[in-house]
Amino acid sequence: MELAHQLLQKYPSVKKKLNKQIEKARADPFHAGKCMREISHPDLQGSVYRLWVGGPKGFRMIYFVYRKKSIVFGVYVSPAVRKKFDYNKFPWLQNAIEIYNDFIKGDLSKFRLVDPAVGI
Amino acid sequence: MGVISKQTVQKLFLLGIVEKFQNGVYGAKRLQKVTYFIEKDYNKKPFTFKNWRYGQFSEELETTKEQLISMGYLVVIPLRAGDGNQYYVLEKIIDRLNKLLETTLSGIQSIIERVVDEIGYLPEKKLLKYAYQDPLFTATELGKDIFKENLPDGGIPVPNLSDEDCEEIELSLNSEFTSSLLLIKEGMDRGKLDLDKVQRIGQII
Repeated sequence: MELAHQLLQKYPSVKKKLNKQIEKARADPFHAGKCMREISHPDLQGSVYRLWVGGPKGFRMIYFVYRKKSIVFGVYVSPAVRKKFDYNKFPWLQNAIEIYNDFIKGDLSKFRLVDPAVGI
Repeated sequence: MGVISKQTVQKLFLLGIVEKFQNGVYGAKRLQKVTYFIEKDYNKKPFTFKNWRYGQFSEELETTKEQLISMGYLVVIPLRAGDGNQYYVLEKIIDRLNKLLETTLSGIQSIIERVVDEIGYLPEKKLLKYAYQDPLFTATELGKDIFKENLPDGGIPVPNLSDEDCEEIELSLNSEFTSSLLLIKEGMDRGKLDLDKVQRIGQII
């Protein structure tokens, strides 16, 4: 959510497109985005997808499908258009540790569930 | 035309070397030495090598190797006690890997093949003797760099791959990205994920 808010603060006009893509991912997660088949780890194969927000020159959204509980989890929304950010500079682990700790504690106050209830 | 980052090229390079060994690489020392001699014969240097206690050594190579193991691209099999590990590349990524490697580091495949063929299968003692006699190594003081990594900071342009393809390769070989997803998944597996406690919204505000 924080990433989405960062994006919308800077580019409010993207809101409609972002919501549309979230809706797409929520409704049909296995076809909405492109599956990242190059990921080699067996626990992640077929579970990570990426899609554009605002077309191929726009922003990037990555989501993870957690099959066990039918959850589509929005992992990432780029804070700038694709050409202007570097994946190697994003604090992936720092963010993941926070999410992990929240899940373990059961503190879900930072998360939002987009209705109908299949995604956080 | 897409661009592949320096870090990703380092990973492709290392996988490309391990893949050329018929039965995987026996021992980390062997991997270090063989990589050193490949780089020595090539104008682009993916890793910095220094003169270290056990000969030519690259810290970046060690880190890259660990990252590839954690992401599941490199498989490690422990050998008998004291003999170190055997390293393999997963069969299913080999074709794609070779194409990518040749595109990013043109001409490297033939050098890898030649060096692996010449010294890759030598008994360890012979390999080390060969490595310690290398003039470039003997001319470098202990602790100093023998040669420095020289890949462009902005990454390497790949003419026959789209931005989208390069992005997928970048992310798939980004160990922080993979580890973070695994951590989130583990949090979901082990955590108290009571969806009734999550605030429901119709759309992003």
